[in-house]
Amino acid sequence: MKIALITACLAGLAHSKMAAVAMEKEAKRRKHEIVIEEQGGHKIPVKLTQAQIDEADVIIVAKAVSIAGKDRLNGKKVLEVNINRVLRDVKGTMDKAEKLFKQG
Amino acid sequence: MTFLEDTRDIFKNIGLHFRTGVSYMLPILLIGGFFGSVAVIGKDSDAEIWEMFKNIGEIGLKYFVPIMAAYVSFSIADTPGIAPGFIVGILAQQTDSGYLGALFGGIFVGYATFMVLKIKLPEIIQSTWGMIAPVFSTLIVAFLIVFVIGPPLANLMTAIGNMLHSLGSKGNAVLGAIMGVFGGVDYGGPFSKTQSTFATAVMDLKSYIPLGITAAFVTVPPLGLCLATFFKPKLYTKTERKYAKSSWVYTLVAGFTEIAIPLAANDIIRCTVATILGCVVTGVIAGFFALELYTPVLGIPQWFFFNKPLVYWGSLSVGVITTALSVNFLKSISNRNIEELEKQEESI
Repeated sequence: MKIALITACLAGLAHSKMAAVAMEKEAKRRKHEIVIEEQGGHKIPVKLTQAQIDEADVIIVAKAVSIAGKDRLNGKKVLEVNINRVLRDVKGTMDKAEKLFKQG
Repeated sequence: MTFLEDTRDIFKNIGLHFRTGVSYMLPILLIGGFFGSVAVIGKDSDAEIWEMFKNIGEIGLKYFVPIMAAYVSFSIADTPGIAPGFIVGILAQQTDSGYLGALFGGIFVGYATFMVLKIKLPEIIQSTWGMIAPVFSTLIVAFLIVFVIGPPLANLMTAIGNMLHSLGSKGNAVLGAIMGVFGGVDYGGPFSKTQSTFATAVMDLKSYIPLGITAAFVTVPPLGLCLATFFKPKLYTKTERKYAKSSWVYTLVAGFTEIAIPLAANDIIRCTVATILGCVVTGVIAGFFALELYTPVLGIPQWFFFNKPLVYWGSLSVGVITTALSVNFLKSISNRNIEELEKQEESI
């Protein structure tokens, strides 16, 4: 399964990075492909290209603030979760994403 | 009824919208505060460049409020919300209701724009409606801001401003203690963010002591917990000690509270008691000596912008040592089984 992960937190310093690292590790363990975009106040913007988003089977949005560029995700399977919940329960989040993928 | 559902949805996520606004506001404050602080160096010089620095600083410290309103509105109504939010934010500032007025204005105008855009019209007008809708929402909320909620909010803001400015050293110490409890309790979570948002919000009232207090204790939890592992390594597992060794430098450089989380995670109650103690002590000292900071920056850049660097280092070290000693004391009277924890770590 191909995952595109977008994380967003208030200052773009800690939570967005921590969630990204944790999810990347979990994705690798389960042999999923993952691309990551981090957002937040002071973040250097690293944007996923439209092609990367189109390719992804599931998009996970882990957020504490509203993300920029919502319109890029139109028509995709999007799993929206609170970023704190992601940090507390990485496995559960990944389970949810897999379930969403299997729903067909 | 989608109307009611949408309304409920927007107001249920009010925290998300507010945080989005703050997230976009912080960089403006940072740029403004940075240049404003640099301008202080050349305040006796006539060179034009200092004037330029001062102007940039004033722009940043003034317009962070409308930017926040604009992006609160953006979070609710997406791109069409930005312009009305910005205008309402400036309007709130000009009618003296300041940060609070801009916050409510941003929420209301975002909500109004979102709803007005939803109105179903004949096909032929629908396409132009996208351009006109924000005009209507701005009009409605502008009335609200200027004539209804503006005046009481303006009074409230003046009252808060007067109170903050007349606190004196004892009052500031109490303020420091309260903020310390908030800052020490959840390692950069909602409570910490509430007090740091308060500290940046009152910059609109030209009150800089709260930011000084926040900045003084922001690194107390991670530094305190790191120092504790050096005092009594026996009380900590291998992973914790290793993490502490590498993370204290990072804390000094980057300077945010979240770094403490891995050290506190396994023993959250005792660690939190200790970090609250440390933050309160630092907050009280910083408040008592009226430590001010003009720029919401973290880590190394912070060191250059305090009005009283000695107070900063003094209050920081006292707070760090308090945290370290109290967490070690609490751990030593507990029955935390280090060997078992280390076994668990190895199995992972």
